[in-house]
Amino acid sequence: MKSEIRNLKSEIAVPDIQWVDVPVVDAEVAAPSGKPCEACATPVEPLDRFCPACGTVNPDFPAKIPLARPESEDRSVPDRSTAPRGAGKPHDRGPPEPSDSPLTKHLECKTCGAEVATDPNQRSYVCPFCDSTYVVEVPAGQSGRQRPEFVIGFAVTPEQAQEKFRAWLAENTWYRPGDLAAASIADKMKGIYLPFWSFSMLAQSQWQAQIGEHWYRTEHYTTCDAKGNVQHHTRRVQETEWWPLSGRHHRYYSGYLVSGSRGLPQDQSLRIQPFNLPALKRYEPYFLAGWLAEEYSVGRDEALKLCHEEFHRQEQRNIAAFLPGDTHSGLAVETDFSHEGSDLCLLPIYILSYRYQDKVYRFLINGQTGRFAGDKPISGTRIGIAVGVALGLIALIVVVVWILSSMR
Amino acid sequence: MSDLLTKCTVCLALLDEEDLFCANCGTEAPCQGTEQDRQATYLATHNFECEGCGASMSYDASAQALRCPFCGSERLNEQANQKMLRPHWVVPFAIEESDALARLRQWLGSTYWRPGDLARTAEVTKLTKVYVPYWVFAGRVFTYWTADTSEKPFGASGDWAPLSGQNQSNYSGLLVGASSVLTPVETSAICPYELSAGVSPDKVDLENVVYEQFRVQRKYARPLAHEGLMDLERNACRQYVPGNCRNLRVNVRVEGLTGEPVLLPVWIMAYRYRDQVHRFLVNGQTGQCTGTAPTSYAKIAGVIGLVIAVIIATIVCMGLMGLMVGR
Repeated sequence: MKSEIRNLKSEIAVPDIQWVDVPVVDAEVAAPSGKPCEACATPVEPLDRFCPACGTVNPDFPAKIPLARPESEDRSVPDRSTAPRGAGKPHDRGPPEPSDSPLTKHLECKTCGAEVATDPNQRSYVCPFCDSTYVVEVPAGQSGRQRPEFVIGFAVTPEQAQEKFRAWLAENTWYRPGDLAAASIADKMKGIYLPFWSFSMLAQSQWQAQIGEHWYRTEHYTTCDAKGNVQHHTRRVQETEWWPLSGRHHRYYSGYLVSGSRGLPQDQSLRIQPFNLPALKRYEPYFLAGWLAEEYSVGRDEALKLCHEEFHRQEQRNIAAFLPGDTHSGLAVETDFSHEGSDLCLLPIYILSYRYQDKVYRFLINGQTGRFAGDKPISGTRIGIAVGVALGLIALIVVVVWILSSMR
Repeated sequence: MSDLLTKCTVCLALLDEEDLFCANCGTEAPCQGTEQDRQATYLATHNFECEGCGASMSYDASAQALRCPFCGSERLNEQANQKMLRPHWVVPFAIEESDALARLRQWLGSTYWRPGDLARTAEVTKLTKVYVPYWVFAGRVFTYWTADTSEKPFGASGDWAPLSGQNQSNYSGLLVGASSVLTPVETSAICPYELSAGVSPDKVDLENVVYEQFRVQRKYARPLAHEGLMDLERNACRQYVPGNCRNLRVNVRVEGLTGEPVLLPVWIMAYRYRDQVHRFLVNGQTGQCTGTAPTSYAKIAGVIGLVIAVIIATIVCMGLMGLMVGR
């Protein structure tokens, strides 16, 4: 058991950066809505403090994020000391406080390696990612992690999430194991903020390449077989004609996400993406009250370094896909990157992990758009029964045919 | 270069291109692009919000039984009078109810895989006239393109030769849905609309129709507008390629994208079938249809069963034939 854990840990120690290239807006769900501003009627979202069109204060601002507890007055503490402080300060701002998070208890799962910040008054604890109870408390802030910059608040309430899960589990119940008690599982659903690095960069490139255009010619040729007979054949031969071509390419890579999560594998979190990223709000500690938040496992500098390399690769790949012709060779690209930015974002998901016969099953809901995905245990015996019945029927038919044909 | 992510200079919150103030700290945004007129507003009475789907709409004052046109729910809460964004144009209805119904029947009947009790369990016949909010985007694009042309230089042995170039154009009239209930996929499926038929909202009696209110900020529509512009630009760049063309690729950057609010006519039929909301939409101007409808698993299972039975019957027959021939 111990060695197994050590193995897991050593695998995790290598920072595996995973890139998420998904649309910025989900076209399959309706966009978030807001109430019209009292002064100018522009839609104002509940988590906007001011109307973006006329600057009027949003009267509904201390908005109800599901489960959020009322917080103290002191919000809005930009933690970047480099942030330019404009002339018209709308609020008094205190100095950056590193310890203003309501989540002061940090727990680490020894099975999957996820580190999760939670409410200090939470007693018993189970890892939300792998349903393991092998969880230890670690001192908070030991790694000096930075505050997130942006967050998307939960829009799906826990009740709606549980209802979705129940409805989903109720589909095709016959193939589920009979002892899978849905009621007890549904309570394990947890809302958790997952960390993502969001990168943006403007790439402007000049490229040069040889573009290959295929063409075909018919070739006549002769063969001699062993007896010395000469045979004439024709065949189609593919030739490639090469043309030099040069040009430019530009792309603004924005909202390019890098998963900072250790608990949830990338392919799992991709199943419920995309999030509507324009809804990102400036991070405030009160967003997290009552929820769990996973700590990121890859630091900004490290991520930024890898990000540069990745964007070079991306630009190269995009230009290669941009080229005309059937094939190309000798592609040379010169790229200038500007307007670089990286932000730590927290994105809301509901996760429900449960163990059934020592296997972990997960059900995920996008906490903003409500998109969901999950795996259900399948009862081997019931599938076996179904297959057996089908096979039995076929065998019966074969026997009938056999009897009929032997009745001569 | 308005394509870029802009942030508030004070609190570093994200700003939309057309925001004049930071939504997080209220700081005035540095002048972005052209000076924008203050949005015109008017007072909307008879406002309702649907408990089922969250739609906010203004209802026909003469309507008797209120029913949410978007999800079929009857739990509607009356809201106080509200200031509303005034649409720049309203496109009036050109499709009559009977015509819309005929299209609905045709569409519903076109597939066999519908549950047989659909007409009974769901109120299929209630089509509602709704004005749905859209944004009309206008913007400049700057494009690099590449393509293969069939007009190859003299002496070329193949059929194609590559080209590259650039293009700049201005677009207006690009429609993106601004509904907070209909998904972008739905609102784009009933496009296009002929916007030149649009009239000033004064000429349409907005007191006595159902229309959805503007509740979604422009920033969610903007990425979708980018995609739309890319499609338009692909058509525009085609003119540069002489002869036949293949592999036309465009690399677009958008500048100065601005959106105007409009109301467009849609016939909507929403119904619940086994707790699932399904919607059928008809473009109120051109009659273009889209929608989702339940699929009957029983029918599918029935067909599969029938196919299997036929196969079995064939096997049995062949067995019998073999028996007869054997005699």
